[in-house]
Amino acid sequence: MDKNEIIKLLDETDLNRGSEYSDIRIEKTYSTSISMSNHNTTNVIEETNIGAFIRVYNKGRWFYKSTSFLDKLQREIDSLCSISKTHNGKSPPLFDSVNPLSSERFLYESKSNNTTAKEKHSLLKSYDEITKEFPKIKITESIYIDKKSETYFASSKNVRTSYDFLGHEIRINYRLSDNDKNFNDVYFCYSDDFANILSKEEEIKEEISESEKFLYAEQCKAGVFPLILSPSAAGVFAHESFGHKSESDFMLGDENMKKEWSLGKRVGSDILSIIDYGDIPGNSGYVPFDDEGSKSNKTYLIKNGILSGRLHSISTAYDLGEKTTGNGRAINFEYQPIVRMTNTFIEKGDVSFDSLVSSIENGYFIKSIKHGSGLSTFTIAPLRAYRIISGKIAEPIKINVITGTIFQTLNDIEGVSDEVELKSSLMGGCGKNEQFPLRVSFGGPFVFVKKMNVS
Amino acid sequence: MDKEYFRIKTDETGISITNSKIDSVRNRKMERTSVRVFDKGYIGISSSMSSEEREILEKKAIYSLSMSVPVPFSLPSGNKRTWDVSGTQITDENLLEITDEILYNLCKRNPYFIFSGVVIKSKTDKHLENSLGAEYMVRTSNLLLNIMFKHKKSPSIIDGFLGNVYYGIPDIEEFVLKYSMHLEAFNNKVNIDDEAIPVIFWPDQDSTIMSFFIRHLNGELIELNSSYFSSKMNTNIFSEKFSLYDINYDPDHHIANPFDGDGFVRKKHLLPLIEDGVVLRGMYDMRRAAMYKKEPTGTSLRKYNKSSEISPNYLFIKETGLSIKNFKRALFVLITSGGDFQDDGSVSLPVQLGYLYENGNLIGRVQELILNNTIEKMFGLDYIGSLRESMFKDDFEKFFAVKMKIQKE
Repeated sequence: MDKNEIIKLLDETDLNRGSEYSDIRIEKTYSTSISMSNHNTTNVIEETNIGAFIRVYNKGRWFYKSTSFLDKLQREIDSLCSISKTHNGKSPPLFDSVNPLSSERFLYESKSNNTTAKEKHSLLKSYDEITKEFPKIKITESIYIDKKSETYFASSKNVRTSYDFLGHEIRINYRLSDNDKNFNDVYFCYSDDFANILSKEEEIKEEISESEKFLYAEQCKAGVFPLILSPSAAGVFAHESFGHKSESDFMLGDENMKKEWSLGKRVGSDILSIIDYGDIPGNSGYVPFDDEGSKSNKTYLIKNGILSGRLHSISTAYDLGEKTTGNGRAINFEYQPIVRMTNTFIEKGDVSFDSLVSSIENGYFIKSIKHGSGLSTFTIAPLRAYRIISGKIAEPIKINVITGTIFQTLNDIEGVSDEVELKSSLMGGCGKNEQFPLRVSFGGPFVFVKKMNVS
Repeated sequence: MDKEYFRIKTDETGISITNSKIDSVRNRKMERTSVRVFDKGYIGISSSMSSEEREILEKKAIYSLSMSVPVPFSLPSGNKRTWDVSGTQITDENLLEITDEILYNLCKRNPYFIFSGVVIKSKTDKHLENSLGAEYMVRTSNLLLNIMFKHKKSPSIIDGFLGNVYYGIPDIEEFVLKYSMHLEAFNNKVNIDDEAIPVIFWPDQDSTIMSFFIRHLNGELIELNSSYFSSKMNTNIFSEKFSLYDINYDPDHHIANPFDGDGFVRKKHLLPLIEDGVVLRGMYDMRRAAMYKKEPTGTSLRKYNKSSEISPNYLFIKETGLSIKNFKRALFVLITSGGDFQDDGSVSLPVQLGYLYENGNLIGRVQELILNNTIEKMFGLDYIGSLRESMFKDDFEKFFAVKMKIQKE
């Protein structure tokens, strides 16, 4: 089914079948996945899928259905409308502020099929081959993934949006061993243009050479230390520590949370600003229109340390009396949109990385991470970390985990560098409720935190 | 040319809970299919989560042979078998009633908390057949309760969660009672100063601790001297009280992976990986078994559109006959997250939600702590044992107790 056929199908589907509101989202995806394990190709697969998610709202409750049988859309809508009428409840005027919109954004129509699976496979093999030059690499897992998607949305409030997305990613996981010393690391690159992931040979070699130093790294001393977070670590911090708290579905009906999180409240140091914005092409969190047909908004979650905004779906925007922000998102056509992040990052400051480092007498630089999490305690498991001694980056160090109380850490940020870098990925992503993984990106400048627990 | 056809059919109804109320009802019926063809040492794969015809997928798989992906193993032969471990079926109407009843009772007993999350009933049919006579079908069904809580005065978006998987009608009274017990303890903040207090863990399959075993008992890592256990195979490195098994079929507990992702059926459902403290074997799928000349262990996990990877079916720690009643005082850890094991086996686990347990009761929520140890000490000198008790009465997973070095933040 091509673009015109999908648009025609949406035109012909009647969404006004007796419910208070209904909408359809049709998603078509093309993906390639190539895997190599220890230099042997294990998987080359190209897949095309298409499916739809239908939502009906009636008497205060949502009713959803996902299907890959697009010829039965009208029947599914009618069935949901009929089920919804059996429920007894009261509806708030959720959709009064939804205005008609017709907009499309197709950036990648000419780029979809320019590269064959064989060419992608050859590229991956050539990068995988480089790892053989490093005898300490004992295990490799090399992966190429691309995804092109087209999303079409139509609602009974006359909202029609559509856009496409494209991303390519290469990831080379490797394990270095020297007698009883081991270290796992990863090289990865991402772009929405295949040409941009070519010619990475030197970069891969440099990365692996740097990794080798971590084989012999000492374990850190546990304690409280000043830290510098790299853009990727800062991005995970922004995403996990604060981004999730800005997803306002957690505030629905919770008067205490609304009071606690009232806009205008100081939540961090005055050099800290955190933004979420879906309409940044080229990043894996690129979402110009969300899965409810709302346009992406550049939302300052924190501006100069002050709580300035939050992320919304149509329901949460109504409940909090605010505007939609384009953050109603689903991982794919099987799921309903819920409030999620897009591209989330800390805004740049005005000092250089070197001057941040020079201000630390005894601390650590977290260059890359394995994962992070954020409930009341914020945690990051570093991958590559270095000591900072007398204002200079020193030797690699092993750190199990860094932790901090979120609000204390937000207030302990004392410096942000003058360049922002966003990290994109198609592998992994963000998880919430049963929906994982959602493509997002995160990043920031280098961030100086005056104290965190290191162990 | 040998051919294999693999199909997973899912029928799922999910209820979403927001602010202690049912917010939405979702129905999802999906069919995921893949075809693999094996020809002259090469493999071709195609897959779809749409309604593509089997013949079209077969043609695509044959076309993808041109990618020259080598395969070191052949499809296993077999016969026709069916396993059905689906429990009592719950209707959509029942599901709404169950959710309403749980929410009503949780809110009534715990008025200072807000609940959110999902209640999902699902039925899954896995069907695998190949041109060598194997034709397997397994049907499972379950009901997942995953309910998060937040104190009304808490500034956090969630304070914790508790959930369970049921295979039939859930025991709502028990669920509400256990949940409420945790919430009552949550309301009372306590500080632990005792560094020698035993720590009781819940062996969640996704936990950091179980993830260590899953990673390092990977046969390929062991063969390539890259597992923590590579140089420790057949060596007694843990306590004799500690045994770890993989189980692929136990109808009483609705564990049902009688055939793995490659269509391999292992002879015994119970596979000892570590027994009486000795690391016995790693796990192998058919690819790695062929590469390293080992027996496959029925531990190949294959998503419909991916190649197989080595993964356990269900890991469990052998009971040692201990009871929670043996402990006068313990740190009961419900959620750890953010920490990780280093390659030398050392670990730091930040406790996100832990309770002080004293004389049969959860007394209160403990302050933020980090638990430190090494894998060999945790299940060696510091291993106390596996308990008879579990979170809910019919759970397969039992608590286990160890000594940890407790670091206060």
